Amino acid sequence: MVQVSTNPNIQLLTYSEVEEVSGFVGNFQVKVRKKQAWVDWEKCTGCGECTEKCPVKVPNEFNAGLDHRGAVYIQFPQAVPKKAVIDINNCINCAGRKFGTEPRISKRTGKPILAPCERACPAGAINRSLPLSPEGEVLELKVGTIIVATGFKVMEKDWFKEYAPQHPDVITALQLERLMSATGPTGGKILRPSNQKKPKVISFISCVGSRDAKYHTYCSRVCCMYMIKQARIIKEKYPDIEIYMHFMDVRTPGKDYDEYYTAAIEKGITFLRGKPGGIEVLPDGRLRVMGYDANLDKDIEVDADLVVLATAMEVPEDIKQLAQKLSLSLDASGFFKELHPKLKPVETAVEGVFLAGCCQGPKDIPDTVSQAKGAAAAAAVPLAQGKVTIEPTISEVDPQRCSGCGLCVPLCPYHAISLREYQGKLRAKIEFTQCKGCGVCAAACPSKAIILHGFTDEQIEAQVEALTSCW
Amino acid sequence: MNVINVTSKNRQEAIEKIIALGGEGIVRCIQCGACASVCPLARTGFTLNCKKLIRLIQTGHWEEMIEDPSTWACVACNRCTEVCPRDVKPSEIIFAYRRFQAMELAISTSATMSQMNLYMKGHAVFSEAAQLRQKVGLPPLPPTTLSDEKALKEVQTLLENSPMAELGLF
Repeated sequence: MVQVSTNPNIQLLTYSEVEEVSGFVGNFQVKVRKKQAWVDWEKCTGCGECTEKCPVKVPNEFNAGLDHRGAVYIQFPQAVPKKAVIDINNCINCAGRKFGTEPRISKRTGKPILAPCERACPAGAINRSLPLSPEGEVLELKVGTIIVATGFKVMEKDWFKEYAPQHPDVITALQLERLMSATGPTGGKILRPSNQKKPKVISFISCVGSRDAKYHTYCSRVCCMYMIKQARIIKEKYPDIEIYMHFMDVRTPGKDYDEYYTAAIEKGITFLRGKPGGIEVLPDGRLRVMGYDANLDKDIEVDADLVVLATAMEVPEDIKQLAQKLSLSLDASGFFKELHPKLKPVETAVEGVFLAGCCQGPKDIPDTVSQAKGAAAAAAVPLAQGKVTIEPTISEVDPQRCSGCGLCVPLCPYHAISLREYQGKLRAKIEFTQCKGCGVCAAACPSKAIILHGFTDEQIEAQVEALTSCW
Repeated sequence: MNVINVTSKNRQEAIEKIIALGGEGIVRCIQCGACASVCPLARTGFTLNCKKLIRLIQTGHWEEMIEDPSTWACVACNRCTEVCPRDVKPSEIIFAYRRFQAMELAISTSATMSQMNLYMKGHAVFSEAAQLRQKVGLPPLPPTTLSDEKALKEVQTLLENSPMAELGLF
């Protein structure tokens, strides 16, 4: 990320959102809203002084809610660019310092009374007297190709009532990852969130929300490996902690993955094949995992101090809005749909838009890197060639027959049709680089002004005739 | 040889039979074991838990476990159905297998008494709570078939005209 930010050929826009995409391959116009950070990033040095002074406490998203951040915060220590932002919805405007108001003057000292974050900033990057707009700033970019890499989100534990989600010691694997991180809330120590003591027994439960008809039918693919990784790291650091792993199936395909798994067995981690049906909270606050061992065909119980749920990977909530903006389609699981599952894994139905990473489907880091490099190469091809090949079976409007009713414009799933002036009148025009030849417009046109090349009425009738004739 | 010979013919037959009796979820089972982990039947020592029953049927076994009393211990708590990630509804498969067992008159003695009670009293399970009810100011008998002869008669008519009558339990 640091390399990306310092590369002169890359413009990095963080804390931004795509508002609108128009145009076609080679000529996309993208409107990007740079959200209001409320801090002057030109001046901010990322020292973090302001974040320490802020009195607000909000659950810290980066640490998966295990600790708190202020209303002014830097998302995480390695953030690129390392700049502070103010979460204006949670800011309490200390000293009445709403943005765009002049400070009160202290009667005692005669100096203006500033909010703690303003006072703390040694660079003068926070100035609450400025009437900053909450809308931020909209940038218009002209780009030739687009790669969508919006990633995934981890399912919350609250969905799974059978696993006592209200108990603080039932955590998601992402929360464990933060507990294990040197920059996490415990500085890398494994401690039970309920009492900050070291757990003696840890249970892992796989396939929570994945491979489940009630939530997501797909396999999240990465859980088996990251759970084994977490278990091995814990076991290496604290050999006295007992680790039990409940799996529906252990799925470790991939280079050196199965060796990693078998080595975990050798290290004394217990693998149990069988999905636990529930967790009971014991009177002493420990958690009884009600499991099953398929190999013994026996019910088993593990009294654990900490339970880790490998919750499913899923798409972010706003993926549908982004799909609409880009005219992309989603698959049955909600991920972006690639053009062909085997032969065109990074292309989409929209020419010039490519996919990389988990927005296309669950995958691990090596797969994401491979796909991202493939997408980057695919996106560079039309740019280098300067031209694209389009399919011949696309639709075209006969402007002489078109009545300009505009019925076809909202019907087009690829936003390829617009009304343009033709001999002084408005007539439909199909942008041939965007048209995919689906034929919706041709079927709907009341004046029969749209021809889908290769599928005219005459051609279809001739086909029917040939198929139904006797010989 | 203590080896099970699995043939697709048996498998197909067993699955078709269980589906016909109401266990259509069997085709979706992936044997994760979640049902068995919460099943009170399995936890109290009945050896043929729902997961195992499903597996036996899936592999073409149909009559081998007909004498097993485990299925009759199912109390229809539906915890298996609740935790099942594949919407198999294991309790319905147990019930479907019970229907087969009943048709072959392979009913566990643990189940016959409750069937007779159902006919005689309109309740499969009931308790003598008359004193307790009177203590809290309720009539000694609840407003069910226990106190309503007409309702009991209706239940008996229903049972007499159901396939259960053919079992000869009442």
